[in-house]
Amino acid sequence: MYSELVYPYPFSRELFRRLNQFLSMPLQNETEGLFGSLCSGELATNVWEDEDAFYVEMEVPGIKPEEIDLSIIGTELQIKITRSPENESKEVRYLRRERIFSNTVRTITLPMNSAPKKWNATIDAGVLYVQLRKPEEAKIQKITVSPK
Amino acid sequence: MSLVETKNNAVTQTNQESSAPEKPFRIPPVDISEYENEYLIEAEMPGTKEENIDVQFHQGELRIRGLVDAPDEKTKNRLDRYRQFEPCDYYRAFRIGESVNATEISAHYADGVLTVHLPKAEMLKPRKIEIARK
Repeated sequence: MYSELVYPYPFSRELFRRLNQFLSMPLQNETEGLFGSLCSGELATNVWEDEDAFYVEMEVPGIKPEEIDLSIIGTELQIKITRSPENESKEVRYLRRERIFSNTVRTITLPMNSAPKKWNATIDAGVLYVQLRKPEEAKIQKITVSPK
Repeated sequence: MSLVETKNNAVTQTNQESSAPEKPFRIPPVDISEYENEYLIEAEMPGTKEENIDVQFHQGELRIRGLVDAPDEKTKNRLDRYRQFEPCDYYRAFRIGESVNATEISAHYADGVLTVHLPKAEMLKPRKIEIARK
């Protein structure tokens, strides 16, 4: 779930930030659509790249490594989270529930033509980090501009 | 405005502006639950290291705060493809009623979730009353 971001002042700064975040959401992710991830309360994710690799960061607070299943299918990374049944006792009474405890599958299409050759995944302080090494053909080619 | 009301006003959300940090912060989502002998607050603060968690109780107000490290130098040249969260500190405050034994409040942090235990005051704990024989 997205936690609320608060700017003590001014209000307009936060409004512009959220508007900017909304407008910068990628349209190419066909499996989710533009509104899907904003409305479904799913786990917040960043995808970014540098010269050598793609990186996926997902907020997974309270989720154990054994509850996460990662698969690479072609050029898609699938993150499947299967929560263990909650051990709720009858004596508990919830006064407020803002956290989300649902199973989820998220598919991220990697912007490259062939599957990554190497990858690794870790969890630290409730954040899942996945690094996917780019195949040679997906690496950024630097073109030198020479004078005539 | 109180977001949470209990029968004894054990835990209520306090005015965030009274003690909030000046930097932008995220309000962590919480579950608040009541057990026989305690209330529990579980707050999601992913990305925070345990040593950067700060829990304070002062004049009836419970303040939870988590500092998140800024991105390191090597990620500054990154090209974002999809961005839904940014490293940002967490802060949230709650008004704790007299039905909580404030001297026994404890907390622990694991997997990005802070759990605060708020033991009930003795007067609220269920007691079995023995029937005395005449």
